[in-house]
Amino acid sequence: MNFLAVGFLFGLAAVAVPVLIHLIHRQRYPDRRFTTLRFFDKTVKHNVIQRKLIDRILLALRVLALIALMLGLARPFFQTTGSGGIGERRRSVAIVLDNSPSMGRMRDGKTLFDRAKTAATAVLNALQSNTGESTQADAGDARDQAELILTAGASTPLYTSDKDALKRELAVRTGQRLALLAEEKSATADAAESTGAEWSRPEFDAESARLLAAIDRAPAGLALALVPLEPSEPRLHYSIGQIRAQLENARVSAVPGDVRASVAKAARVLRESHDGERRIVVLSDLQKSKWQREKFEGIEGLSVTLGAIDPPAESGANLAIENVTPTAREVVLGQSVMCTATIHNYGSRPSETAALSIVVGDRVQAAKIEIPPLAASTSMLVSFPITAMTRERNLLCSAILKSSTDTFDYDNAWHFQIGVRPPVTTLCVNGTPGAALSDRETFFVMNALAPRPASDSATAGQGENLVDVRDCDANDLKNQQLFQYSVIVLCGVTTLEPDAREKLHRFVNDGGGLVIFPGSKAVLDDYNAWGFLPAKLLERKTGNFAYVTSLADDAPAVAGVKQRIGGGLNALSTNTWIALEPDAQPGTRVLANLSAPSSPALVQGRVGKGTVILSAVGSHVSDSDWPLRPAFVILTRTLVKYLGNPAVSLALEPNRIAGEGASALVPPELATGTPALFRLVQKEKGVGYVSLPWNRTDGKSIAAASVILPRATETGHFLLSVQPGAAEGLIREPGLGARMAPVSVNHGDRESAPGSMPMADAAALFSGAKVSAKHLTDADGESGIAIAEELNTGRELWRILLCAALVFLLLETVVAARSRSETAN
Amino acid sequence: MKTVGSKFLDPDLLAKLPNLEVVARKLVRGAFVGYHKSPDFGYSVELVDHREYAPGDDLRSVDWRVWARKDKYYVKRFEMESQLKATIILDSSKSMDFGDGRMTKLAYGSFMAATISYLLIHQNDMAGLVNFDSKVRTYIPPRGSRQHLRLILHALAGIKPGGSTNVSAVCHHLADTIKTRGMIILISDMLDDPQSMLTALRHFQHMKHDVIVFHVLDDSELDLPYNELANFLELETGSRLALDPAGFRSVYTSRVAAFCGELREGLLKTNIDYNLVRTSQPIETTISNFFSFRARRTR
Repeated sequence: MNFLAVGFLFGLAAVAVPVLIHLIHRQRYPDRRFTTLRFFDKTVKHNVIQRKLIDRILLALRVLALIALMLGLARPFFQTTGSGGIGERRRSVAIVLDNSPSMGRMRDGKTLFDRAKTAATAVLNALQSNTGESTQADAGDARDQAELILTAGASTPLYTSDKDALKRELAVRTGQRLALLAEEKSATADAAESTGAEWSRPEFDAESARLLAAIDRAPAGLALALVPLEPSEPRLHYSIGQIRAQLENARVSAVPGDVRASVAKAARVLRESHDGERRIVVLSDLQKSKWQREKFEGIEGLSVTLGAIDPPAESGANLAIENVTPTAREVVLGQSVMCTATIHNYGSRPSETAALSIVVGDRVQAAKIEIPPLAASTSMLVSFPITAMTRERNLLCSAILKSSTDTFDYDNAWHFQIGVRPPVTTLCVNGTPGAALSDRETFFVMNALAPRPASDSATAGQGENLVDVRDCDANDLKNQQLFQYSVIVLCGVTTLEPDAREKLHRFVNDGGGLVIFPGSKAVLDDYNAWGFLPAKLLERKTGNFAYVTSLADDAPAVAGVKQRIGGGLNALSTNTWIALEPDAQPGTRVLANLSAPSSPALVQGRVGKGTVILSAVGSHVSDSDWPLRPAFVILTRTLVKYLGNPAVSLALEPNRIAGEGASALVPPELATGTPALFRLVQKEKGVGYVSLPWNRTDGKSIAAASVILPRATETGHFLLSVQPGAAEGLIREPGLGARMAPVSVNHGDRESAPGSMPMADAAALFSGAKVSAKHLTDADGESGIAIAEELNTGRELWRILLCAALVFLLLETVVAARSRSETAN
Repeated sequence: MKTVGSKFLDPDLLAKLPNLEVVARKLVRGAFVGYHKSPDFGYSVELVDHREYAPGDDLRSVDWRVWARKDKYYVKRFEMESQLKATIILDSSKSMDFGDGRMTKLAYGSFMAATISYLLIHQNDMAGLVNFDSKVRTYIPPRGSRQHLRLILHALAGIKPGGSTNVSAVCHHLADTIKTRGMIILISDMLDDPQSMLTALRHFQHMKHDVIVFHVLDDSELDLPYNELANFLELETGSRLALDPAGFRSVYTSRVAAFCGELREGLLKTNIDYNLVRTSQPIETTISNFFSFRARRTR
């Protein structure tokens, strides 16, 4: 049992007053001499026992009156396990609203979701609301509590220009990490200019004072919203109006909902309530939406009202893009990739001619693909090319199906991405100048990186392996502009002049990649004097046969090489190599080993932001057999690609769906890298990120906005959390901040084909709870009212207690008066 | 007049009883001539009847007028006026040692006995005293001298309450003992079986005594004015009873009234004067009212 006004419990000490009075004035029954007892009654009726009894009854009544009075004022409530139990008259209602895609189906010109909202609104209207947001501790006269739980994610932020409402909400959420967002459509350029740069970005802070100042600073009329940075657990609100606003703002999701999880949330919320009536109102069409034939757990003792919204009897034509599969996940800038879309008619009627439009990046391709009529339950494949014409690291594309007769349009769009890889600019440094091309130390490396077409006579070219290769002589290295290159490959360089050495060191230190094939003529002491090599060159080994025995599979630099080479790894053999002794610096690791004992073949090391890979073997056939082996080509390409463009996990997998959240790991060296969803950029006030343009289902592209981050390139996951089915998503980064970015996501694969669950079966899943199920048919509002009327109003315990106190006092008065009258007689 | 050594004889009280006579309603027989009618014939002025002359009769009693008409000798017989022999029977049981007022019932009764004795002796009657509880403790036969009054007063002063009340046994005993017609004044709280007491008092009546009962009760006994719970301790038996007197008062008073009423009815039927006396009532008032009324009724 708990109390809303605990202070009144101290009043229970007043119980001691009548007890003390009783004890002080307790009859001590003195001996009284009397002539005879012959006239006295020896039965209990008039003897002292009766008087004792009356006294104790009076005492009990007084004590009970005081206890009831104080308890009543303290407003007790009980944690009851059953509905309608003892407690305050208040009611706690958790409305689980199914906003899965199937709720978007039309019936009689109105979506099922709209009907569910109407019923939910009626339930909310039946609840007694407090005027403002309030917590349970200071509920005051607040009556009922409610919470809206969407099965497929939360609703979008509630923008409001009412600063007082925002301040109230801020006061309630003190201690919670919040972002203050400005609605983009209202944050006009004029408003931004009038307020300086302050409102070109949202505020985000856990300090309510700062957010409070930001609210005050915001121009009048600017719509703002407070968004929690961390996923917030549902909680009961006294402000029914706020719940009503959330309900109005709720939309159908693009992904299947999770009724089980939502009901579990609702039960969890209601279990924390102390109200007498705790009810879960589930409004659903009982379509897929993860309705499983497993009983709901944790709902014991609660009341459940299941409002089944009947789907339309006939589904009509329903075209859906099931998926889009590109032939390549990654292409070079300017290249094209063929994509194949699978279109299926889930409806019960043939579709009419539809149009498939393709959005690539921020542009809508002019040509639309005509989709011929599809019979019910049939599919067709549609192929279309996409050309990677963007500077972004990932090309975000959408395939959008337009059909005038489609009854269910949430599955008419599919979003996917294609990685765009810029060519790695590589400089190969030739250590042995020679007239013949094949005599150059760089010959085999360049051939491995960018094999020239037969007709190409140039010394440089760009092959399919996405590497742009140039070469120069070692004595010309000091004259090269190394910043133009991503990777430098030293081939058979004997020595380096100090200027070149220094320049190479800076290049690597600034983030460049360096691959060294020393060759048989390398001056080991000179190499060892460079100071930034990952290993010490000990001695040159000749005359002994050795081959590569192992590769570090887990090293990103040679990731996948072993699988591609297979048994050819051992073919990388040589008679001449340099014994290497890896240093103990952090980041140094052996990538490959030779068969000779303690002889690394490849050693990787970190130098500043860059990476150096030192080989024990030369790159020319005069030094070893490596260049002659196919494995050498694969190994060299892999090393250069890695150094020129470190592997970054794709942020948004093609089949990733909303609600799961997309993430990208930003490595420290990626100061200017481009994760899938946003890009870190250097700004005057620090490092910020620019969100990528996302495409909406309506084909419009939303311009990106930028957010200034207080800290720069820290390692961490930047998360994109999207509102399912919404046109907006929340980019969230732990510890930094948030902003809203327009986003759309792919639909799930289950809702296109409707399949209802019998209501009786669905109701049976709520075993352990007091369940009432009903169909919400035509008069949805009335059905909602009927649900509302089911809410057990319970009894007001505090009023009962006060009435009991009054009754006790009246009884005490009557008994005392009667006792006094008998005494007077 | 001051009787030396008597604490129960108050001159102020006696001063308030001027010319009060204790009159016997019945014929009493005394040794000396007094103011009270006697069953014997004597020499008073009240002619009773005539009878034929017999030798030895006093010739002064011959009615000559009858002789003149009848020519027979008849002698006149006059009423005998005799002294009153009054025996005051005072209950001195433990129950009489009770009084919430200024005096106990025993003290009140002692005052009454002393005063009545004084009055009797003062009018040349004789007064005796019997003190009893369950049996007779003191018996002073009636005498008419002032020394006898002193003896009575001395006996009153020496009475110690004790024993239980047994009015009926004592009365039967006294009725057998007191042979001479006289006045029996019983001063008691009468806490005995009513029927037994009535029977015993009728025994007095049977012996031609003029019986007066002063039923002395304290106000507390009549009204039970207590409000507090108490363990009531019976004086004579020592038994206890925890009681709420406030809740029982009405029942108690009705029961006491019924008890007194039963006594009154029973005594009046046998022509015994019954007088319920509250100890809060002034003694002179009690005595004055009763004997004045009695004297008027007798005349």
